[in-house]
Amino acid sequence: MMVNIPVIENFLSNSCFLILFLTTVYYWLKIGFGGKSSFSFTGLTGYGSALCCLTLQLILRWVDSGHFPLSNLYESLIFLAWCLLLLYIYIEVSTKTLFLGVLTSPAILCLVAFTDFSLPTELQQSTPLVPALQSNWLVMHVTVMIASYAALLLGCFIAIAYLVLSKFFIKTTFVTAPLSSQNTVLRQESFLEEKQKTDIVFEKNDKNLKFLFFLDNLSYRTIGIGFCFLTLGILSGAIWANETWGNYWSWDPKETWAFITWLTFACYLHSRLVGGWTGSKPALVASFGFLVVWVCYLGVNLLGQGLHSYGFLNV
Amino acid sequence: MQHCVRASAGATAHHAVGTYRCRLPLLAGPCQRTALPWAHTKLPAAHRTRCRVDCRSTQGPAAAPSLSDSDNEPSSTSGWRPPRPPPPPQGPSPLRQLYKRTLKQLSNLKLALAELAVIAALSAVGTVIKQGETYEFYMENYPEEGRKVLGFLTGRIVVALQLDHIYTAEYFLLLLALLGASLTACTITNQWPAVKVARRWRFKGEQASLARLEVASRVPDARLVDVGRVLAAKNYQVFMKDGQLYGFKGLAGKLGPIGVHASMLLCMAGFVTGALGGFTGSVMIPQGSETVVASALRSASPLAWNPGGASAVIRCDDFRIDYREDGSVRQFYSDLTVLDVDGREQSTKTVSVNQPLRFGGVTAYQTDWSMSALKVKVAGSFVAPEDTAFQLPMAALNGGDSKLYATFLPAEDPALAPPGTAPRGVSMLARDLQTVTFYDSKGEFAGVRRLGSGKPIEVEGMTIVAQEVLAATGLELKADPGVPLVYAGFGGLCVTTVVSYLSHSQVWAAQAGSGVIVGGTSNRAKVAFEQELSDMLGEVPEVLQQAPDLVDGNGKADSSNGSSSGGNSSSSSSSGSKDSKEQVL
Repeated sequence: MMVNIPVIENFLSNSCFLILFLTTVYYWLKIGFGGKSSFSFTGLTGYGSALCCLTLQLILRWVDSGHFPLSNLYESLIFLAWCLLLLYIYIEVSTKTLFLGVLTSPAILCLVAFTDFSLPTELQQSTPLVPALQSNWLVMHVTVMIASYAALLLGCFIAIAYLVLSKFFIKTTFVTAPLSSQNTVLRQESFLEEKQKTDIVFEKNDKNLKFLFFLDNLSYRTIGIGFCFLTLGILSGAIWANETWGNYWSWDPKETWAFITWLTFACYLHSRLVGGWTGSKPALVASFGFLVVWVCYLGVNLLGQGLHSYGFLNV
Repeated sequence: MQHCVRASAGATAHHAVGTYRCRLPLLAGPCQRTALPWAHTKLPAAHRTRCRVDCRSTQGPAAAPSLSDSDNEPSSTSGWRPPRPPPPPQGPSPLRQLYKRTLKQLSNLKLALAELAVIAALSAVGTVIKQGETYEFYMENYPEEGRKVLGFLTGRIVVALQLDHIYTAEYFLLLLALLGASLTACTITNQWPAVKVARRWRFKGEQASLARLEVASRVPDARLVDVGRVLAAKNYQVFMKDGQLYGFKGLAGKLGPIGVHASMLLCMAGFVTGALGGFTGSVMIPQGSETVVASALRSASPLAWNPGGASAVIRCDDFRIDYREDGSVRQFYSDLTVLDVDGREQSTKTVSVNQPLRFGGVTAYQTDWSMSALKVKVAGSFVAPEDTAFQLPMAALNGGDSKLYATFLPAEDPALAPPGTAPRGVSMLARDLQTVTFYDSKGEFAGVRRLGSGKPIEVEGMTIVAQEVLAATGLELKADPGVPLVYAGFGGLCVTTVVSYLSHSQVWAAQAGSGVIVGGTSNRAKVAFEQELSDMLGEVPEVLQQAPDLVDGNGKADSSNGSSSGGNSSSSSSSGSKDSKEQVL
């Protein structure tokens, strides 16, 4: 039975986009019109089906090309969306919050839209591997790196949300209790030190601050996981390079930017662990880290030269 | 069963004020415990000095602590100071003082963060400015006149600041060395002592200090040994002494960060060894030829020592490219033989891109290839009219990204051509090992032939059959003595990074009357720790005192959770029911 794989792939990518679009709308409506805001079964079903579409698409590409489906930019973007979806589902189930879906579903939707509709068609084709990529290290190194990008991007995104919301909430707090501003500051700090609660409703100021603390903690934990994967990814890349070219570090732009990303998040983690920072200051570092990860992942490939370039933008 | 295990908010209020450094919201100061005779009372000197060193772990509210948690500095707001030690009779020698002061400066966290930031910024500069190009390239791309890049960046500045080879510039290497020094200093001053501290377990006997712990609760009608048993069942290591208990789990999570820094230092040692002691070089070996390895190797520095394999000879028996149907390369294969100085064969291997050849400390990687000669059979050449076999050397043509090699077959004797003019002839170009393209004297395209097809082509009066391209394999030879160290450092880094995410949990308990006060802290996953402690305390069996009139007391206390399942069991005096009640302190 001859299965027309490109047609099926097209169908899968379109349906993935549609499902994510519907899920985004659903989350926004659900938050906008109130209701209990623990995790949403319908929303998770939406995410789960999008995840299934992407999984099928990757498996089909694997069968079609004969090699692990992570050899070009298109496949790595799909894999990034896959990792983000998986990570998000895990977070929503384990922390039982709904609000993150409002933030992350449009982000993942944009990512999938860019991947399927903006990337030139010739980059979407699966091409056979060049000799340098024909190695088992491909599976280990690239999957771990993409997984680390997913965790870091999600963590930084949450940190940016924290910054935006904290500006918004702190204004509200000050407006409602202007005479006791000193107490408000202390109260905010003490709330930040309490353990997280799970209700997220925005009417009460207390709940707002608890939610901010929750965002802060969640971004810290997610970036922590991402940093661990990033370390493993960089090291596996170095060992692979040594096996292939005899040089574990050649200051290639992609390698250098991965190192810069690692240094940025090392600063973030040390400022938290050793310096004891919480709240806005590490969130600012994480927002900067958000840009750094994008430059490392896409900027270098699209603009630069080197061992990792696709170079279809000539600058 | 309802358990209320509440974080001590009382400590929070105390510690919200004050510098961020001394804010220890949720830990008991060690100084509190000196009141009890059987507790460890002596703070070792290292801890006292460490109170003023910045590169130590404080416990932030949402952060993981501390390599040396709960042991160091007194809280600034507790109002209790340890008695100052008497001044030493004689100061340490100036050299030792200098050493200590340098260590303290180097292990400053802000300095370390600044180093990381500057290294990151300089690395980024190196990705924007193309590295390793010629002087003319920078003159051309960063012009002196007209529109300067960024308004001021000219080629001369780029070269003067060594921005064209920034990763080997002295200031960059010095920065890396400084980072290594900071890592070493931090390990010596802070992290190594933490290992020693970790081995000494400290009891907390005073109720107040137990209450001040992150997670604290009182278990009424329980015995310390039962608490210890429950903890041990959950893989805690438990120590008990004189009515006090200390248990910990996951010590690896506390030692993990030390391992991370030590592994990084090992990697750096490997980098330095490789940079100073290595040999590198590349060589093109045509099919059938051989080359002495040592002739291709260049040392990285005068300190390099010769690898054993440098005296070997590599012979390339064959080089072939595996092409796919669409003409792209699937893989390169070289059949290599290693011979020793006397010509005896040592080993043979078919090398391809991800499969290098290792011998005597030298590794040969397949990285490049070229064409060295083209074998043709020509009828009607100026040399002889009948079929003659030629082996024409090929040269690489510059320009474009892909390889292009060409050779030339003169149609007339070059010696007879007028001086200053090129003789007539056929140009033969090849991009890969599959086809050859022919051009005549005027540069017009004459035809394409597949190598090995045997089909002749008529150009410039000659009949040519292109038979075979003799290729040369391009090998990168490397001898890097630092690689074992680097790999060891990498392996350590992989393991210790993962291990650092483990939770190091500690639990203290003390018998207080009929009940037990339990408190604990964890450096990661605090919420999970609270839940775990709560569950564990739920399993502590209830032990009632003997006096029968206490039955009523228990019955009354029972109403707090209303679960007197087996009201009759509560009247027994042995550890009966598995229910447990807890009260919030």
